[in-house]
Amino acid sequence: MKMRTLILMPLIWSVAVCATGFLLLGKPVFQIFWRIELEAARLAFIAGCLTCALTFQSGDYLRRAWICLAISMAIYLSRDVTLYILSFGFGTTMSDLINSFMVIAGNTLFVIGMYLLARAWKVAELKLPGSKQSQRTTYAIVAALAITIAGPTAWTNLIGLIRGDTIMLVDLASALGDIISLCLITPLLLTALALRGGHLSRPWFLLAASMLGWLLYDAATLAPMIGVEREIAKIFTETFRALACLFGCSAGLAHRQVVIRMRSVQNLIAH
Amino acid sequence: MPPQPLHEQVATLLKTWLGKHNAKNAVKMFCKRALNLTPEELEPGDLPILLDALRPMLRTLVGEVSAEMVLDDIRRKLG
Repeated sequence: MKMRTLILMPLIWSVAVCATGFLLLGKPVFQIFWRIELEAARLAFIAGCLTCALTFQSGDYLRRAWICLAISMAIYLSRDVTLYILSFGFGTTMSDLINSFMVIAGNTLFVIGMYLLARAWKVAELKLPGSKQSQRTTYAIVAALAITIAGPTAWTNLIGLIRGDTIMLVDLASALGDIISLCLITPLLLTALALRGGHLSRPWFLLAASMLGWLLYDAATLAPMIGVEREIAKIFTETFRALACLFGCSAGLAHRQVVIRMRSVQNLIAH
Repeated sequence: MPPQPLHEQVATLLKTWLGKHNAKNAVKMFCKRALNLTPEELEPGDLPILLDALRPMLRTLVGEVSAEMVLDDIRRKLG
C-alpha cells in the first residue's frame, strides 16, 4: 500500500463521516449512524495494530506496543457492546462498574502502547533533529496545548471526586490519560523527522497524525461549552475520532509494510 | 570514479530504512562506540563489529528477523 493511500484513507473516511453526519442531522438514524461508524473505526484501528503486531516476533520491543494499542481499542469496543446489552434492564450500578473498569483498563493500555512507540527513538539510540533547546520548546508547547484542551475536564473531575462523586475517578483517569498521550505527539513527530527520507519514518508520521486527531477530538468535546449545538459538536468529535482511529490503522499497516519489505530484500538475494 | 568509502556504502544501504540523516549518524556513532574509529577509518575487517553494534537499534525498530535480514544483506554486499 502506498504512503499516499495510507494518508488518503483516513482523510476520505473522515470527510465522508462528517458529510453524512450533516446529512442525517436531526433525523432518527443520526445516533444509529454514529454507533455503527464509531465501531467500524475502532475495528479498523484494531485490525491495523493487530496485523502489525503479528508481523513481529515474540520478544520484539514494538510488538508489545502494537498489542497494547490493539487490546486497548478492543476493550473500548467490548465496553460498548457490554453497555448496550446491559441497557436492557441490568441497572445503572452494574453498568457504571463495568464502564469504570473498562475505561481505566483501555486508557492505561493505550498510554502504555503509545509510550512504547514514542520512546522507541531512545531505545534505538536515534538522534532526534534540532537542538536540545528547540526539542524542549516543542515539548513545552505541545504539553501546554494538551493541558489547555484536556485540563479543564480533568480539573472538573478532580473537584467532583473531592466532593465525593466517586464515578468522577473514571473520567479523571481518562482525562489524565488524554493529557499524557497527547504529550507523546512530540516524541512521535521528532522520531518521524529523525527518520525522514527512510521508509521507517512513515509509521511515526502516521502515529503523530493519529495523536493529532485525538487532540482535535478532545478539543471538539469542549465545543458545547462555548455554545455549539450538541449535535453539531457530535459531528466534529466523531469526525476527529474517526480520523485518529484511521490514522492509527494506517500507522500499523505502514509499519508492517516496512518490516515485511526488509525481509523481502534478503529473499530477493537468496533467490 | 573512485569507489565509495566503506562507511558511505553502509550508510547508503541503511538510508532506505533509516533516512539519509540517521543512517549517517548511526554509522558515525557506532564506529566511535564499538570500534573507537572515525567513519573514514573503517576497514572491511571492522564491518562485522560495526554490524553487531547496529543490531540493537534495528532490532528495536523492526524486530529481530527483519534486522538480521538487513544486516545479512549488508554483509553479503560489502563483506
